[in-house]
Amino acid sequence: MSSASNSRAPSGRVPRMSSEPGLSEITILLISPKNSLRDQFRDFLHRPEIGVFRVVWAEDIESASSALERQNCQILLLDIDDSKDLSRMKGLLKKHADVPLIVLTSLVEPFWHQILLREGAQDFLVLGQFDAALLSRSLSYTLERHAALRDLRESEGRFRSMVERNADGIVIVDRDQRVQFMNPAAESLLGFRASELIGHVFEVPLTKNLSQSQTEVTLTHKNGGPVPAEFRFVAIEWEGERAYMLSLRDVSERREMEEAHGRLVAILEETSDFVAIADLKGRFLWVNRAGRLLVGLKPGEPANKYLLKDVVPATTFRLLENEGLPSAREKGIWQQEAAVLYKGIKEIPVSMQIQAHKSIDGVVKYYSTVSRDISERRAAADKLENQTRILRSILDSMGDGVIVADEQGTFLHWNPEAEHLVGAGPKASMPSRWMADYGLLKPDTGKPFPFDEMPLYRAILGEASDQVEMLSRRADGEELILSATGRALKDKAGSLKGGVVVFRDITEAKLASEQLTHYSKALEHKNQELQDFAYVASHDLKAPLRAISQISQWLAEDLGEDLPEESARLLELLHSRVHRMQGLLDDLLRYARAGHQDVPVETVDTALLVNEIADLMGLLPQFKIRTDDSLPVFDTGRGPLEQVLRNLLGNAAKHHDQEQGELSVSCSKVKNEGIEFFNFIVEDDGPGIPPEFHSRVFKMFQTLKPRDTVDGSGMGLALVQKIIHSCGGSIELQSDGRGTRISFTWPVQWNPEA
Amino acid sequence: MIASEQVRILLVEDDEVDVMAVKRAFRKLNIDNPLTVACDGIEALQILRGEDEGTSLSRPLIIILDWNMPRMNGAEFLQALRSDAELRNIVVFVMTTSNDERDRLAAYERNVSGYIVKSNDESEFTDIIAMLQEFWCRVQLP
Repeated sequence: MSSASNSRAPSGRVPRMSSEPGLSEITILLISPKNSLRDQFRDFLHRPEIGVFRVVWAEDIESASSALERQNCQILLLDIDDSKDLSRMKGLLKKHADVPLIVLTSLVEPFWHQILLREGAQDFLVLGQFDAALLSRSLSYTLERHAALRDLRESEGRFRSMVERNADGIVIVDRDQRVQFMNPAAESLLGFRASELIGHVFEVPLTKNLSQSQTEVTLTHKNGGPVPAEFRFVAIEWEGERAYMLSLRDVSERREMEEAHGRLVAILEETSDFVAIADLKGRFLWVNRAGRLLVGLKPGEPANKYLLKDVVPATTFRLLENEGLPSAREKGIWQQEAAVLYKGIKEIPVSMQIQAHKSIDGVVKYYSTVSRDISERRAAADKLENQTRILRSILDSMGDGVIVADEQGTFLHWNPEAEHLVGAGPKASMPSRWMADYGLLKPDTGKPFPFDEMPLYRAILGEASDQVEMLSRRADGEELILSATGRALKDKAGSLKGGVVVFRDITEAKLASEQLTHYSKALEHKNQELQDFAYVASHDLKAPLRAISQISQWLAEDLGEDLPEESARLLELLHSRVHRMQGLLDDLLRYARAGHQDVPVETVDTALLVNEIADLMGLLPQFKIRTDDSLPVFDTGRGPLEQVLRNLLGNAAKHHDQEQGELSVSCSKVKNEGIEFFNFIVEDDGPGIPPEFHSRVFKMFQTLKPRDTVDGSGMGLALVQKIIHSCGGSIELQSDGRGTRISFTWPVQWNPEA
Repeated sequence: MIASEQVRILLVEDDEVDVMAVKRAFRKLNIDNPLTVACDGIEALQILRGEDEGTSLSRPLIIILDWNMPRMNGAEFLQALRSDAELRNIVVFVMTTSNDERDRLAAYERNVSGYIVKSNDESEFTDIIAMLQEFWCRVQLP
């Protein structure tokens, strides 16, 4: 860089000459050791055609410098012929840059002249080749030029200060994009100090196109973060070179705002609500996607084609004109259910909100509306209403009384039957007054029914109650017994919303039930009596029988040989009939007792039991007894089961008509009404029982053969049936031709209560 | 055999035929132990307590007791006997027509020495009396 460029360094200094002096006030400092030259100039400079100058004189550059410090000079005339003096001239010019210099030289070579001009001289005059006119012109020219240069410097200074203080970042780069200058705003934008970047290439796109308009670039901050910036540039001349001034404006804040705005718009675009902004005349400025669909706006079609009145039915428009818009203007916001028109035709019920947007000074600028489609909600509400109506009509036609109350105990519904049963309609009364208001009493004591035991009161507290009996003493004097069931009502979330009580008149049922209890008790009593009778009768009948039997024996004994043969036979007959009667009485006694005993439960191996019975009854070896794996081992009342099996096996053996026979017992599991049973089958290969007698075999005192042929009371199967029935089982007989098959069920779980 | 050491038999029985049956069996078996008959529990207690003028019974003694009787039956009699400090240790056999388990258990609960169901059969009944005789002859009584 030349020293001249340094001298042009921007500065804020005020020029030494505050105002432009007239030529007459110009002081010239002539620097020359030659007296002749001084004289010549004095002569020149006093000529009227040149003008009036004051001339001071200095012998050499050093003294000139000190002279300049003492007094103001407006122009320097330096006599220099030797290139050795050039450096001293440069030193002078550097020190007193604000004073222009004209060289006087005796050399005529153009080369030398160029050097002089390059080194900072404003002009040159060749000694002996200029006259007063030329000198005058040169002086004037130099002064003019100097003034112009000074102006330029000042303007540069102003520019620089402007640049320095600019809020935008300013970076000046040379044609290779090397940084020449950075202002503080650019420093803070990029995080670099100017000194760190000067001389480095500043990477921004500098294309002719971009210079036309601003563009956005993302720069990199010193800390690595992105710096969004608005960028523009202009070509300038900087220190005599072509350069570019880049202007960078931080737009991160603006961009954030734009993004936030974009997000809000996106949300509004995506919401299913109809969102629109309209001006004061009701012309749409913006409509979201749902709104465009609703109005029937084609893609790309401008929103302002439509007016508010185009998209709402006339009723809504009137409502808006008369109420909505004025109210929004006044209060800022207005909301009500209204309707919009789908594609100008179909009315859609909406919840509409209108908002008036005001400027800072309170003037309404435009309206916005948010409308939500509530047709589904409407439909749901209609459906609900319908269902409610149906439910209500069901309630009203019910034969039971139904009362619904909320969680405070306020009645929500009484159906007609409830009014009928209570004898009054709902009254606004506290639960604690219910018993008094409706005449509700305890059925057993006739005292007022405590309200905290009432099913409805318990229901609204969240408790269920079942079939609570209450006595209703109606206003007409009639008394009813009610059976009430209460349940809490809860919403979807499970929180208590009240309670419901359902009740019915059980007065008659209650009477019937009491009657039934009475009958059943009486029956039980009779049964007991019958049993006692059977027991006592059989016992008391047995004693005299025994006596008869004994006396007849004693008679035979005492008479001995004296007894006629015929009498002996009669005594024997007497004895045998007594014996039969004793058998009858024993069976009668057993029958009376069957099913009325507390039977101990034991583990019974039924196969073993069958074999023991056969053994004890002496059925072997005449009969072959067949049992198999199907016979269970289980816990049951051993006595009754043994009795049944003994009777069945005994019957089969007793009625068998052949030398040899076979009795088999098997079992399978069956289920009847959810209860498990063993199904035992006892089969014989005897003569069988003709079908016409099947119904008689289970009856008391029925025998199918004369008593004298087969000894039996005729009570065996009746007894078996009674035992089986008393434990919940059943018995069946099958016999077709030879062989009898009796199957009976026996509970797997022994339950004497059954 | 000294008379005073001979076991006395108190038969508590309301049925005359049953009394006869016992007597016949004694005769058949040549049993000569003194036999006293009371027609029910009340009379038996009177005899045992010496309240009856004509009769008094000294030990050793066994009682043959019918179960079903008028006025005071076997169960009631045993109850009274076992609560009487003087009489509680007397050996009692129940001889009855009742084959009812409840009766049997009720008897043993009152500490009877045996519960015998009367047989209709003449010879079987004689065997029972023979068994009882065997018992009182061999067992040391209080």
